[in-house]
Amino acid sequence: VRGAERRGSDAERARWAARSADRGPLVSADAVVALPSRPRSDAELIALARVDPAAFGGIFDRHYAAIHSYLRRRRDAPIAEELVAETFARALRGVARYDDERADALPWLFGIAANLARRHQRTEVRRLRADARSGRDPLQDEHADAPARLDAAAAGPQLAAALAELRTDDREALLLFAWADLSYEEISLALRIPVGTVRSRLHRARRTLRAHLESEETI
Amino acid sequence: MHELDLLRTFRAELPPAPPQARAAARARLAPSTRRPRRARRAILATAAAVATAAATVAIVSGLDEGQVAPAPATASEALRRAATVAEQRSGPGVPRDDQFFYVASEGTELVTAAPTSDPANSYSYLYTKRREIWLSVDRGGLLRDTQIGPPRWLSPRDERNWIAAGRQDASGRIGKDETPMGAIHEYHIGDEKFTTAQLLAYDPTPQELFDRLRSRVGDRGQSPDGEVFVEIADALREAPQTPRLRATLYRALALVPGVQLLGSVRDRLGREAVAVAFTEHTGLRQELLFDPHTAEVLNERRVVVHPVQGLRAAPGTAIEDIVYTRRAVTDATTRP
Repeated sequence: VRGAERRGSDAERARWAARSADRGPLVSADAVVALPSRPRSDAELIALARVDPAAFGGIFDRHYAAIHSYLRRRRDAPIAEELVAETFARALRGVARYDDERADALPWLFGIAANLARRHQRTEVRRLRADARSGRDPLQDEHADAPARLDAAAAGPQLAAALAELRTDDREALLLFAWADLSYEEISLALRIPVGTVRSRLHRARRTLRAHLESEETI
Repeated sequence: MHELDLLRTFRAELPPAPPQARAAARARLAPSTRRPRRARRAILATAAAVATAAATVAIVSGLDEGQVAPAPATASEALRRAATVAEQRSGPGVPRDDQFFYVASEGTELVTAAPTSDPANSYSYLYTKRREIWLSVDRGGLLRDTQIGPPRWLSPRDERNWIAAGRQDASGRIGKDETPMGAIHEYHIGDEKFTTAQLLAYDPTPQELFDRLRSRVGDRGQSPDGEVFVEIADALREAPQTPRLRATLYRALALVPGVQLLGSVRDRLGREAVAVAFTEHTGLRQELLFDPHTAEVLNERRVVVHPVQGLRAAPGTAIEDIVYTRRAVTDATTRP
C-alpha cells in the first residue's frame, strides 16, 4: 500500500511499468509496488540526494539506459557516452532546484539531455543530411536485422532528411515524443514550454515528416 | 506505416553503452559529492573539435608556382578566382549512374568532459575518424569509417584526469566499420533533388543560384545567409559537379552577405589553401579552405571566434576540422 502511494495513481503506476517494460526487463504494475530494489520514487531519491549525494546513484541506475539510448540515437557512441555522463553530473548539481511534486525524474533528465544535445545541432543536422544522401544510416547498428525494422531501414534516408529539415525546436519536441516516449505534459516540463506550444511543434514536425515520406512514395 | 511508428523504430536497436562507460559515468557522480558545492558555471561535455586555429593556420605568401600573384584582397575576389580555376579544370567529374563518386576525408572532433564540478578535473581529447564513401545513383555504395588511433590528449593533464575518471577503456575502442549503402538515386543542392541528367544540364547564373538557395532556406540554420554558405559547402564537399556548376557555386558563395576572406593559409595537412568564412552571431565561424590551383575543397572547420555561451572552448579553438584527401570517379567500390 505504501508503495502504491509513493508511485501515485494506478494510471501513473501502469504507465511507469509499461515504460520500464519498454526499456528493460519486463515488470508488471504489481511487481513495481512489491519490488524491493525500487522502493522510492525519483522525487524521494532526489530529496535524499540533497543531503546524501550517494542516493543519486539510484536515479542513475534507474534511468541511465533510457538517457543513453536517446542520446545514442542522436550522436556517435563516444560522444553519446560523454553527453549521458554529463547529463547526470549536471542533474546531480541541480538537485536543489528539482520540483518535488514530480515523482518521475525522467522528463527533467531528458530536458537536460536535450539541452546538451541541441548545442551540437549543427553537427547533428550536417550528419543527418549526409545520411540522407548516402542512402543508409551510419548510426544504425549494421547487425540489427529484426524484420520489424526493415521498413524503417528502407525509410532511413527519408527520415534523416526530414529530421534535418525540421526547425530545431520542432525536432527537440518530436524526438522527446518519439524516442524518449514523453507525453505532451512531460515535454512541456522538459523543455519549459507551454503544452499548447508542444502541440503545435509536434504538429508541424509530423507534417514535415509525412511530407518527406509521401514524396518518396510517389517517385 | 504511420510516420511516428517509423520514426520510433529508426535507430531503435543501437547497442547499449559498454559497461565500462556506464561505470565511468556513475563514478563521475561520486567525487563531486564530497566537495563543497560552489556556484560555478557547469562545464559542457562538448563534442567540439580540434586543435587551435592559430596553431594550424600559417599565413603563406600568395606565390603561384614561381609567378607572383597578388593575394586576393576580398572574399569575392578570391572566390571569383576559384571560379575561373574551376571552369578550366575537369575535376573528378560526374560519374555515370552505374559508377561511383568516391570521397576520402578525415574528421577530428574534440571531446571535452568534466568528471566533477571542479574544472581542474576536466579532460579533452581528440577523436579522429577516417571516412571513405562510394556514392552511386543506381548501384549500392559503401561507407567505410575507421577510427584512427587511441584518443589524443591536448596535454598530459588531460590524460591524467581521464585515467582518474576511470575512462582507460576508451583506448581500446579503435574500430573499423564498413557498411553497404543503398543507391542514392539523386543529388541534392540545397533542398532540391537532381538526377544526373538534370545535374549535368543545371546552369543557373550565380545570382539565380544564390536567390534560389536563399529563398528556400526557411528556418534551417543559425541565420539565413549562414545557411546558404553551409548549403554551398554541402554541394562542394561530397558531391560531383560539372566544371561550370562548380564555378557557379563559388561565384554564388561570393554573393553571400558577410562572407569574409581569411587569406592564403595552410590546411591541417599543410596544403596551400585559400580560406573564406562566415561568422554566425553565436560566435562560431564556419571556414571553407579550397585549393587555389584546383578549386577543390580541402578542409572545413568551425572555429570559436568569441566566447560561445555554454561552450568552454577558448576563442581560436576549432571545434570541428575535416580534411578532404581524395575525390574521384570509380567503376567499383574500390579505392581509385
